[in-house]
Amino acid sequence: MKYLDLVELINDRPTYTKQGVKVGDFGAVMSEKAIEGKWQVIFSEFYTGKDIADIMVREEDLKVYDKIPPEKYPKH
Amino acid sequence: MNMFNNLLKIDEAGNVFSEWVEWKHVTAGFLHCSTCLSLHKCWFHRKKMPICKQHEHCHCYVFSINSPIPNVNSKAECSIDKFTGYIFSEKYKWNGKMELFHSLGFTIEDSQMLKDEFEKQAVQKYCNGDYTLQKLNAYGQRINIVIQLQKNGREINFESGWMVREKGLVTLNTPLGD
Repeated sequence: MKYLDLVELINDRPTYTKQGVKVGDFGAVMSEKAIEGKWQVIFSEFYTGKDIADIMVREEDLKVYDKIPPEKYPKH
Repeated sequence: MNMFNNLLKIDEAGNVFSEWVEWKHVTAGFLHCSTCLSLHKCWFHRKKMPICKQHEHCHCYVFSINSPIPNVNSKAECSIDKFTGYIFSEKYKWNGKMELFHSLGFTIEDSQMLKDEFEKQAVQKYCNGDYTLQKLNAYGQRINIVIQLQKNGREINFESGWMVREKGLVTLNTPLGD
C-alpha cells in the first residue's frame, strides 16, 4: 500500500462506522506510511465532491484498486 | 493532584506573554500516547489548540513561543500530487472533485498555480490564527483553512484541510476539506 492508492473498505469496525464509513466505501490513501499498521484514508462520496471522513484504517481492512470496477459504482 | 496541575502553560521564556504556544510531549516511563506524540513541537494559537491534557495521566504541556512569521519560521507545503495525482486524476474522477474544479474553471494545467496559491495563503492564515481545528488522531491535528481564489471574475472559497506539523510547518491534506 502506498500514498494516493485507491482503496475500498472491506471490513467494518465500530471506529469506522462511528465516522460514517462502511464496507464498500472508496477513498484515497493520504499518508506516506502506516502508523501502528494503520493508514490515513480520506473516504469520499461518489460524484458530489464531498468527503465522508478522514480516518485511520488498518491495512488488512483495505483493498487496493487501480480503478473502481464498474459494478461498484452506485446508480447515478 | 490539584487544580494547578491543569494549567495549560509553563512559560520557559519567562513572563513574556504570547498568543502562540508549542506543544511538549512528555513520556512517562516506557509508555507514550501516539496522539500526543503527533502534537510534539507543534505550534498553535492559544485560542485554537487541542485540549491539554488529552487524557488521564497525560504529562504533555504547552509553553509560550513568539508568534510564527510566514516563510521565515513558518511554512505551508502542498504536494503538487494532491492536484495532479488526486483532484485531477482519472483514478479519482468518481468522487466528483475533478468535475467541481473544472466547473470553476481550473484544469490540471493550473496545478502549479493552485499549489503556489494554497501554500501562500495557508501560511499567512495559519500565522494569523485564521484556521479552525478539526480532527486529531495519531497522524496529527488537522485544521481547515479557507483559500480564496479568483477565476473568471468570480471569487471562490476552498475550505482546505491541513495537518499541523513540527515547528510552524503545515502540510496540505486535501484541497477540499471536511
